[in-house]
Amino acid sequence: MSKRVRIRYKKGKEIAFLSHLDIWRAFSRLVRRAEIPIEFSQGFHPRPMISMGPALPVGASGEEELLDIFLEREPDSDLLSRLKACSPPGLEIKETWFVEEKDKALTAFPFLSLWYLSGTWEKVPEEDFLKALLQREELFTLRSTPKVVKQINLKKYLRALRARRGFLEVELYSSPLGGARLEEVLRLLEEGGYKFCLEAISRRKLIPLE
Amino acid sequence: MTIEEILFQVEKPGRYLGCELNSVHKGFDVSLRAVICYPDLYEVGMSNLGISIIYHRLNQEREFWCERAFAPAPDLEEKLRENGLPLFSLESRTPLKDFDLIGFSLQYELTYPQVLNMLELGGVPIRTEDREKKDPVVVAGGPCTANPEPMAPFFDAMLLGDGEEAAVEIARTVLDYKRGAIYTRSELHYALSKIPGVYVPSLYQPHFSDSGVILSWETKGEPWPVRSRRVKDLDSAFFPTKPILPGIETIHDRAQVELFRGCLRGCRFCEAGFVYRPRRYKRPETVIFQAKEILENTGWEELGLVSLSTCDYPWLEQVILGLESDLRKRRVQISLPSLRADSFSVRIARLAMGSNITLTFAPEAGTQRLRNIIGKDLSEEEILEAVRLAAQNRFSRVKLYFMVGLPGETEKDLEGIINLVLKLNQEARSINRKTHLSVSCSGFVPKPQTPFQWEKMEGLSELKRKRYFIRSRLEQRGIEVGGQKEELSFLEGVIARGDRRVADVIEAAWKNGSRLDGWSDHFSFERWEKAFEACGIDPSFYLYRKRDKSESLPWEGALYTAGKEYLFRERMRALSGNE
Repeated sequence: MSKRVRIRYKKGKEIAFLSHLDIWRAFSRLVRRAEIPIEFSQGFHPRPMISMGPALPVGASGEEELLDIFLEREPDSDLLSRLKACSPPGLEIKETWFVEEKDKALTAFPFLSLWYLSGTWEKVPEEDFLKALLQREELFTLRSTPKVVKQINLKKYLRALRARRGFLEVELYSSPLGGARLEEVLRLLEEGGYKFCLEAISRRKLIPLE
Repeated sequence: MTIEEILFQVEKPGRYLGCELNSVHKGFDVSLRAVICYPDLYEVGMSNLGISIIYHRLNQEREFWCERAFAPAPDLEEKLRENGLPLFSLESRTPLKDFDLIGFSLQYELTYPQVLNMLELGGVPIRTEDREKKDPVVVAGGPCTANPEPMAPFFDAMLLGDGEEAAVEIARTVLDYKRGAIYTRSELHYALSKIPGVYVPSLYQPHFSDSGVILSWETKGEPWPVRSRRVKDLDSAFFPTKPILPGIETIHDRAQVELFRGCLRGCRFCEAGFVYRPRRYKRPETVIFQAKEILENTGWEELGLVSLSTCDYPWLEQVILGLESDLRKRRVQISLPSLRADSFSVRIARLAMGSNITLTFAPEAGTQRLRNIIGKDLSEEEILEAVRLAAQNRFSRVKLYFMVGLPGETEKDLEGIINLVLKLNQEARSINRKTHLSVSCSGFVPKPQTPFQWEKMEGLSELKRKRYFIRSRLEQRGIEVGGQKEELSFLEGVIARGDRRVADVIEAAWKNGSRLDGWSDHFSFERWEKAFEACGIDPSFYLYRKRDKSESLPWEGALYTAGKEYLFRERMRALSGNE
């Protein structure tokens, strides 16, 4: 009997501006309220064993986010309903299932994610432009970290783009080794003459790949 | 730009959420809409127990809806101004100007410019005299109303003392005004003044002599001075057991249960010790019950048992033992702020928290003579014993609080601090090399409503010299010395001891750009210096002048349990060296 439980949850629009760490904290308190028999880490500051899936940026909501919790014993059968009942506004627990303890951690998966960005275009990008962009051999852009600015190639991460009045859909591939950031994708479009004024971000799908 | 779009461009937008667990959302059809404001950032304001009590108490009434507003961080303020958007409440994002009642919590003098900033940014005239019938009624409460006068022109009413019941009475009176049962603003003021504990600045007018001291008060037949409000029984008083769980990390991110109000120690420098009198205990069963409820309703991983001096709670051990199994089951840690430097405190701290934390003790002064003067009932042997125990119990950090510029202080007392700290350090290190001492040393501000209210404050450069002296000597020996910047103590002194004329300085400092002066990275002394100059106000009048007993003090109209005669007797005892 595995004691590792995977949770699929929604981070709603109303809490989009909470950070990844804030969501972790919200879950650590949710499992306490729900009195779930969760495992704690060792050491001076024991923390509940909650391991988060790929991070959502501050400002983004997510329809199908993932995380794992580790239990210290077999849970009661009402695990899901208890979690649902104790969820704070904006967090919606959708599904829970058991995962083999020896299985890969969520952080070890490659993912395909589908992003829906709403906002306004100064000019909506033409189909041909997006097609040509995706077919380019290389898609270089700059990424600044606190220490260095480096050039990265978005080619292998950027899978699809769809733009209409009022929104932009982006399909991104990511692996434990790296991925593209939405602002980098928006910069590529802006450099092509298509500036997008962002109002909301939602990750509609998050699909772990084998 | 909408608020949503702006939130993409500011730091920590989680501050402006409004839908946190246990936050209260009602419809716009309630009879009275109130907003409780804290003139500092969300993470500070959400740690304040008073805010939580008033918020949930008002929301307990079906006909009221109370929301929250906090100071905008500078980046949000800039965006709001750029886009002509008003400061809003968190729950419904309503501009402050659309509320019936606005309440501010005054916890620290340096936050006063932010009060004006929030009002103005919320579209509310900052001065009471400029508010019209349709404008919100603006009130204040919190410990700083111990001297209401420096903020007098900005508030329709100020509450002295406990707010649990008074807040509801104020709201009811404002509702009468809104419904037309009270016609004019001045009638409203008159009605508010009839609520016990409510100080209505527009009804009392100080008259000044040519030299600037207060000669007399012209009052409009009200109860004057105003007696502070007291909740008699904490067991039956309202206490929020379903408090808001903040969305982001706050400075005291934990469940809080008040053990008792007031303090039995009577340290003569401590304003809180006098304004929260008399001491009222909560029964241990009540504490245990409330603690369990809060943990169940929030899921917090830490429980704070709060009061002015936690180890003076007679049933502390009983409470901790009574909660033990529950806390262990929930993996919740206890935190005990405000410990005394005695062995009992260390034992309790060990029991409650384990040892991987900082213990803070406040000897306040370096010699027995000076500790006697300030009424700090603590002997060197007790402090030594406490530090010894802390080391034996492998506490990794012990922080010691001292003040400089105390009345009756000499160079020997400064030497005393150094010698005491070195002795404690040696003792601690000889027992456990991993126990580190650090020192916080700040300038003493003679506060209103204390026996030292007549004293003059130590000069700015002297305060700096004294701290530097202590710091240089202790840092040679590897002991870190921190403390409040002297300029902050100076301003805290002028404002805390100020009269109604200081209000102009506060307004000028705000106009010069003072916002979050409690945060060192936002503080600028220059803005205040310019403000004093522009208003023609000399800070030394408020700080560097011993006041005569016959002088009418600015806070004369605020009467707390101790009373002027008692305070004066205490002062005389202090200065003659009596404990």
